[in-house]
Amino acid sequence: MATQKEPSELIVCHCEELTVEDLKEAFDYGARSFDDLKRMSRCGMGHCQAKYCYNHTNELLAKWSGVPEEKLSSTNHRTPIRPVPLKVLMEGEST
Amino acid sequence: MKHGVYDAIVIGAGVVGLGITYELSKVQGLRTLTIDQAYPMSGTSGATQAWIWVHSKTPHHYGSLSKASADRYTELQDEIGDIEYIRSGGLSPIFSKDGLLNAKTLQDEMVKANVPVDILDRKEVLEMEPNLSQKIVGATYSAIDGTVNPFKLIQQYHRQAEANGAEFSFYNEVIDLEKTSFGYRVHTQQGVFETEKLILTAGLWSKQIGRFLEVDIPTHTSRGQILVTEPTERLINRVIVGMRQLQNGIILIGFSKEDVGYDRRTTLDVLQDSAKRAVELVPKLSDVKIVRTFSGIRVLPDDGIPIFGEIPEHEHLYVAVTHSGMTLSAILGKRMTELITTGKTSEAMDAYSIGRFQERGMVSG
Repeated sequence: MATQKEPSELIVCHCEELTVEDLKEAFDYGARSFDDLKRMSRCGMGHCQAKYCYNHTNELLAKWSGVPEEKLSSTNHRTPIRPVPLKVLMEGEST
Repeated sequence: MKHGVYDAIVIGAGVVGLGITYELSKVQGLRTLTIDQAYPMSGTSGATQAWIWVHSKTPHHYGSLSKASADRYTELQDEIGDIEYIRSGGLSPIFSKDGLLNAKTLQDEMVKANVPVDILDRKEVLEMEPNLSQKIVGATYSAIDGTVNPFKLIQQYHRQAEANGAEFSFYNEVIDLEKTSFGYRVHTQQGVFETEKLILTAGLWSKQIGRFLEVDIPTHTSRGQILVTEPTERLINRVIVGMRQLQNGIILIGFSKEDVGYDRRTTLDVLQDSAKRAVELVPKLSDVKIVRTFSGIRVLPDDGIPIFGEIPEHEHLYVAVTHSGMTLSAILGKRMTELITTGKTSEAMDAYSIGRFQERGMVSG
């Protein structure tokens, strides 16, 4: 995280406007993975689909839990890579 | 290593296990522990559209049970905090003449459950939901159907139960079970726990957990793949079988059922088919963007009907495993707590006994 100043009010998930404090609350309640936090707070469920918040959230999780970032369970990155209209999805060829 | 002695241990902290844990936590002096291999919402209960769906639950006794649960959610909304239970009404679209005949059969069955089902013609459907396709022939409709916010429901169950003194152990897998003179011994990765009563609510995993005590729980799996749209204008106001629109404008779409074991991947062919069906139903969806897809694995008892109750010849061993856990968690929590504390339920639950599989010779072994 870039700043040391007022970290609890720092916004981590911009799409859903969640702060460090919001995520800490979920962590304190037992969440231990990005997906736990996501389902508790909607972190990463917005337009960017965790592309912006994922690494920052994992840094926080690692700091709070004492588990190194590389040992944290990762989230599922799923189709689509970026938003796509249903009509395009329907017409694309399945391989 | 942890250890402890409990009055009741619940294995599985999905919506069914937590609904039961919550109701048990209201019983004075009952010491309970709820164990899960992961964290609540990491499995089936976190990968759902979370309809509270009543009107196609046949036979009629299953309809009655589902209705009782829907009614219990209106109380829970006040009792445990906002779970966003919305009784929007639900439509099951019909696209053929045969579909209309089946609708009549369904309506007759649901009358016996006191569940109102209307058969709507095309005009009536479109008055209710103007964005549905003009090609629709009709629909069955019930005002009792609705939705809940699964994340809020589960967190409220968890928080309220914990506030009432329930204990939890997450990220702790059950590795063996043993019958003892006192009750049951639960071996976990993090320690050994003793309990008088043991309740199996492990959804998909119940079958494997049951085997520790040589109990056969006849279930199979059914994967559902879901598309998530961007927030968009209000296109539908009720649950339309296959989709719902959340308060924030996001639409969840899913029609698929695949028996692929525990494989939670999403696949392009199924997603494309789901997109086609959604656009056939609501043509305006064609221009709406998908931002995400996900999948969840449902558990299905082999005959489709909930499995609930004390297991014959296994004193103080109980099971609650069902499809539609979201719809049923409220009532199963209540009924299981009655059973645990008084030895019987306020309404007959015989139809859901696991003993029925033995009688029919359906045990898969």
